[in-house]
Amino acid sequence: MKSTRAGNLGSSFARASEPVWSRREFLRNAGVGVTALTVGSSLLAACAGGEEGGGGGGKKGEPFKLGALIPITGIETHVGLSMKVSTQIAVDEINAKGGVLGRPIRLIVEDEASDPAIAVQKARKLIREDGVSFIVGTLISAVRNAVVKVTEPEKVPLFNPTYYEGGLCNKYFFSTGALPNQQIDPFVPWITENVGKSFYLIGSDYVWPHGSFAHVKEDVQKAGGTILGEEYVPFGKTDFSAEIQRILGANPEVLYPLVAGVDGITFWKQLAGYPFKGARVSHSVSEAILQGLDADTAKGIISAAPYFMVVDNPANKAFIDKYQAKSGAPYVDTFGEGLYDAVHLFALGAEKAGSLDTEKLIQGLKGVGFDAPQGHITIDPTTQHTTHAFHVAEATGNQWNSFNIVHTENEIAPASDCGKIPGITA
Amino acid sequence: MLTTLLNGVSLAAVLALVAIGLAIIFGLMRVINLAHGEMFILGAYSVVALHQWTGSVWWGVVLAPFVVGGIGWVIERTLIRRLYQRPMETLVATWGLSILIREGLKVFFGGGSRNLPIPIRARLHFGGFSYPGYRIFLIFVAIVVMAAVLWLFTATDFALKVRAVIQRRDMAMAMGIDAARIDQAVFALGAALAGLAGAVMTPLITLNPEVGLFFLARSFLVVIVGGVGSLLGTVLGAVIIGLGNAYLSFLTRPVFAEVALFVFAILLIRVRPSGLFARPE
Repeated sequence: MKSTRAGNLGSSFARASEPVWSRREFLRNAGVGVTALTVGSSLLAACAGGEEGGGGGGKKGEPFKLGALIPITGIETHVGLSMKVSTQIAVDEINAKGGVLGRPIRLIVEDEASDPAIAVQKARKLIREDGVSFIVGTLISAVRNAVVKVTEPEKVPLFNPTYYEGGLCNKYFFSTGALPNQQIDPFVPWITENVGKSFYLIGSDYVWPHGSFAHVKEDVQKAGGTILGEEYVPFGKTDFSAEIQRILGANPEVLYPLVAGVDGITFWKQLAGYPFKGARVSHSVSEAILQGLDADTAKGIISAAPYFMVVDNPANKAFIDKYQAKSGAPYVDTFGEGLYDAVHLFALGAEKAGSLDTEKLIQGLKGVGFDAPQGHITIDPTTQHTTHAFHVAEATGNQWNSFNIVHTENEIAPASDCGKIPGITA
Repeated sequence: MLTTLLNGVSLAAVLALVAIGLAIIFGLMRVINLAHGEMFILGAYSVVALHQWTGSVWWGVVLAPFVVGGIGWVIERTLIRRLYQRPMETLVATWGLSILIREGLKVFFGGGSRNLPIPIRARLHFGGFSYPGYRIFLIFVAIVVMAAVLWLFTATDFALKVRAVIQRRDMAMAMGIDAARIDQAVFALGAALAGLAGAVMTPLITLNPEVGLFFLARSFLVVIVGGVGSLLGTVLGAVIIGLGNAYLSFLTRPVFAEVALFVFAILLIRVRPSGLFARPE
């Protein structure tokens, strides 16, 4: 007769199943083991591989390696794939016309996982192992801030597509992401005129919501509104019942959440179960978020961004046709469009400078313009951020074309907290 | 406030559902199953798959426990049975299994997140008070499942056999009890319960393969606080932690509530290492 507990059958111990450890040791070791491995798992997850592009150095005809840091896993996973596809479409378009300065672009994509520690490792890998001299991407502010600390000393430009709280001024940093003066400052007055004046703010607990809400609060004050509450939640929250209860208690006319990524989707879903009567307004809601909700929940949410898929111009129609042909999911949002623009601007900057040498390329990028899907944009030479269109849109459902644009401004120039960027000649 | 109380009870319900499976596997069988969070996730993804095929969330909720129970049975027969009484090997092996399952799910379903619609949109109304219907449903499911599990492990023939196998395996076998079958049944049941928890939670959250780790940590917390080896202890541990979390989150801030709960757990273990309701040995 076999027994899996070999050695105990027919033993002379007082108790069968005589354990290796006492109960106390067992509990202690189990607790330690679980904690250690759960903490270690985030480091282990860094071993999720990236994709190789290959390609070499400096001569004509030789591929130019372009690095891309994209959140394929993690809290922004719902936009990661669309960012990757958008980047690839731009690269394919440029290569179809002969590449940049006669050299085809080889795209090397790495998963930054919305985790600063992992992103830093991947950035180093791209620069030191793959030898890239230009990187596009990163999404959440915490990741961008960490990666810039790697790319700047290495003198590798980072071209970032994400709207953020502003303030990043760095010779090696470019952005197709909107600054608060291009996205929040035009939005809040519109809200107080058309929606309501009492606000409740809730956001994820990191730099982007904190920085953005600082601007929101200032604008609300100027417009004569009031802030009824402001709170922050950790990442990975699965239950928002306490927060929603506080929101219901405060009864704001405008609920303005900046809960990042998939946590935001969870928040909207759970909120829909409660009888909240105010308006749901947030510049963080994009097509990617809508697709995660059902139509009834999505209806009525108001957002603002430089880009929505329903923007009506030929460049956008062409982009969406290519995108939906290539991608499994039909939606792309302002981050994907931002990356598409970044890659094209990079190519245009290289053509203008006549060189892919980093220092000349940086000079070439200044002032470059492009007919983007959002409209025409230009890189401002001083801040190295682009001008932006601005649209307010209301969701009528949860499909990629459910947004209804209600207000538009064009080519808002980027203001910035930093006057002169050190090392730049404008 | 009634809302906070119901929030606490619904949190407790989730914790109880997730932890009771671990209480059986870890508490009764002494198997450190680090893949328990992945059993939860497999239940969740079963709902996603069945929703894709049938368009309804309910099929998944009903079938997920059977699917995950079946997977648990296979895991017991191939992996766990070789590792009883070897806690370090079990730790490593189940952690490896957990990685395997997580990455496998990424291959099958993609690394992206999934969202399912909440199937009960109605709200519970009385007086001026209103509460989401699906959370009430969750509480109801948890109560029924807890009652069933407690009954199964105290008042049935099966319960006697399980106790016999745990206390004196060789004598139990000599009395004609198929100990191997009992091991399989208990492990599969623990997995099935985790799968059920994952299935009912799915509509409320945004699902991706990493979510299992959060619930793994919670399950261990509840089981250790409630008392390893006591199923009733696990239920009561879930109630304490759920209610505590809800009240502290509402009165202060969620981060503080989390910290306070872990501090409470640490102090409790320091004072009562066997947890609140330890099974007398």
